[in-house]
Amino acid sequence: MAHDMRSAPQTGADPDEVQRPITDRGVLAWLRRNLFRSRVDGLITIIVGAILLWFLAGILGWIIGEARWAVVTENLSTLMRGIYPQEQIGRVTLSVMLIVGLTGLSWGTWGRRFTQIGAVFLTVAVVLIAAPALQAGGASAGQGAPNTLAAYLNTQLLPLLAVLREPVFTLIIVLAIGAAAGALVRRVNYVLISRTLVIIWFAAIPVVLILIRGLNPETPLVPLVPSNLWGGLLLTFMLAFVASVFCFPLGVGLALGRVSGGSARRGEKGLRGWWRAQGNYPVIKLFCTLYIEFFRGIPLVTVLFTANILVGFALGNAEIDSVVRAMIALTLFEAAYVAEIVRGGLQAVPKGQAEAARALGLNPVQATLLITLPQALRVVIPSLVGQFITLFKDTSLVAIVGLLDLIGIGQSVITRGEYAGTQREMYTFVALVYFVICFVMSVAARQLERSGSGRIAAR
Amino acid sequence: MTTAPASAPSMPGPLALLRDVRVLAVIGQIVFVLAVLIVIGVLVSNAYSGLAKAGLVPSFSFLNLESSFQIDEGLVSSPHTSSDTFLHAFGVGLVNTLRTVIVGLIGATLLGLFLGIGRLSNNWLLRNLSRSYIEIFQNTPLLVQLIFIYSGLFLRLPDLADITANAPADVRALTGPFWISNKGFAMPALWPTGGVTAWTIAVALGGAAAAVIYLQRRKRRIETGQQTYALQVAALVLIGTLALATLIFGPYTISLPTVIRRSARIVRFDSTLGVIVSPEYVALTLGLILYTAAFIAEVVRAGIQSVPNGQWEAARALGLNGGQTLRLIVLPQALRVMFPPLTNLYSALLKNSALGAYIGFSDLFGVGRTIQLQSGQSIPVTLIVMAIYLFLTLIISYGMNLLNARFQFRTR
Repeated sequence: MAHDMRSAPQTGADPDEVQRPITDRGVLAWLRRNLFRSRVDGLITIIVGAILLWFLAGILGWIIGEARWAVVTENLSTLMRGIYPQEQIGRVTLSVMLIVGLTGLSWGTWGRRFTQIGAVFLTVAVVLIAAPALQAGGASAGQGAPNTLAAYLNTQLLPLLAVLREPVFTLIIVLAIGAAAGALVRRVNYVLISRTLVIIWFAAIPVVLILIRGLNPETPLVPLVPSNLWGGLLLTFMLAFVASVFCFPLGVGLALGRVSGGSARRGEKGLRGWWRAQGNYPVIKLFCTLYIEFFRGIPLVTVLFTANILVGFALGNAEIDSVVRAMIALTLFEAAYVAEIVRGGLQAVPKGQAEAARALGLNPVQATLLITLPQALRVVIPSLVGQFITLFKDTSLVAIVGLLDLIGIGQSVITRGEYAGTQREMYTFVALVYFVICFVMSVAARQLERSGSGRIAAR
Repeated sequence: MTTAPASAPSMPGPLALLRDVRVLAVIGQIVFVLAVLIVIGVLVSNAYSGLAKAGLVPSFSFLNLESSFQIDEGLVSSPHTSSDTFLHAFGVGLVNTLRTVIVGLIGATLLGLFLGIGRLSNNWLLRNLSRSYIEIFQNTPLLVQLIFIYSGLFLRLPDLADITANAPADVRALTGPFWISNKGFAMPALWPTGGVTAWTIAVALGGAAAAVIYLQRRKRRIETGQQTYALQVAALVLIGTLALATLIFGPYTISLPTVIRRSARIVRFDSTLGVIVSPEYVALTLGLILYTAAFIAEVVRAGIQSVPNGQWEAARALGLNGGQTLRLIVLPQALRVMFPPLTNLYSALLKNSALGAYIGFSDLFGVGRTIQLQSGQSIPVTLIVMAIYLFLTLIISYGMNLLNARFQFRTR
């Protein structure tokens, strides 16, 4: 321990034994610095703390004591996958394992070792393991009076945890295995595993689509499961998945169209300057600009409604499934936002890159595809991930057009007679599911930002 | 080495034109325009013939027809009844949207500012509380929050019949200052009387006098350094004028909300007395405020963190405390960075207000949906609704751009 120069050592006493005053070290020091820095600060801490404790006590009391979680426990499979045929469930499970495994692999290869997420997963796993122990203890005590805490725990909360235990546990294990595998292979050959992983992700898209949807009713392994049978969280995922996959190239194309053009020469004003800024493709630029500004100015619900009415008519009176109509609406809508983000990235790439590419003999298409676009995309990866999180949340709006996604199914479950008045429980569960998924994605986005992908590499 | 006879270079043939970049660009655009026109033409004609076959030829003449529905909230001066036209219904829907959006914008900005500053506070509790709030409200969809607030909180409020259950059975009307029920929140209203014009003039004069006094005293304080209590004196003058004018002219009467009891279980508000705010409106506005504030908080945090540390240090060296530094030095500079994302968030709040239709609020989108069902004219109604939202978004962008220009660096 270092010498404490502020207190003079007594004669004969060992200077190393002198310590700071009690209020200046350890817990008390932390309290003074962080919670009670001044009188006003201390007052704020006390008041806010009191309100917070009262609030938390109320919520915790509700969760453990009064909430009727049976509405979630008994309908979990409907909430998760709608009316997907029971005998084909294995395909859904397989695709979920595939995606989770890939995510774990990516985390192990590209991510940081220990994060808050790892701690959260660990906590969840521990809670789920510990839950049956509680149940075993309380089973004997709760048979009598129906109003005791043990009785509530047994009939409401613990069954919910028990039902969630297997799937969540399996998911966490698959994730952990993938992360470990990724970390191992990364040591062997980072470049190879990086490139292979990207290719595998791209290949996973059609694989998952085929697994979930199937081909036609006669195919042996993967018969057709039409999209009107998808529901719940499965439908939410499929909507977000398909919309992300298709809105991305469309958005990039729109951004390239909008950015095409030059700028007015210095001192050039008026019509001449404006014409020069239009560049080589004024019509395409106008079209892209109108498209982007139009779709960014109207609410998503109007697009969903219009698509619902018009898509069937517009494609020659065909019977287009309502899920496909929602996918089309989501794709067209989100493409405008992706276009704006990518446009920002394109404008951040120094002009010298394009000039150097042309000087090296690449034609404009090659210059854009090989030089400008990869740099632009690398800069805006964090914003793009943020946009995909928003897309995932926006899929919840299809409940307004009557599709049975997670919210829609939740709504239809609680209107049944035996579950009257369980809105809070159902929507807390729905909110929790969304929160877990979006929170994980946002932590990933923040890590990406910190790892430097949000900057052009300095030369 | 043979020398070939020198010959004049031949003129490039017509095919060479195709290698000219400018020609290619023009041809490309013509092809693009043709393709887009063809695709859109096919889609539109399909849609038109399909609609015609279903008997729903698009036209705008329905706007003058009588709507067969009524809207419970909106303009107090001209509520929408079933004999009013569809056009009037659109107006009421627009008014409702504006009511929500304006209150939502102000509330979300204030709450977001507070949360963003709290996110950077020295107090561990405040900092982590803000962070948890932001994470929770950013990562759950707005629709879930709205439904939770509306059906989980507001619809669980006591019923009017239960609140008035203790009154004697023959009492038909009950009056009280504040009512909180699942049919709405009621509070006293101020109704103008004859003396309101004189009162307004008196208060305006008093306000002008207070402003002049404030500016004069402030100028004297800046020039001489004397404490002239500019703000306090001006406030005194203003409050004094207000009190005197109210006493003398008596401009407003208070109208207390009343509950009418038709029978033991059929109890409703008297909509002509007091101010009655529907639970749908409060749920939507509250939901919008809570959701958007989480995003605004992050923007505020990023803005404050973009101000260089040297500004804080210089302010401290000049003797300003934390609050003064924030208010006078840091926030004005932070605003410069905050404007573009704030514009996006404000537009997002406007567009999210359309979700009110799901919980039963008669905003523009909800009214549009009802009109679609009543009149069968989906395309014209959709066009009108989209055009109004586009127009409102334009107004927001334009206003924010004006403010943004005012806050930019003025470099030489």
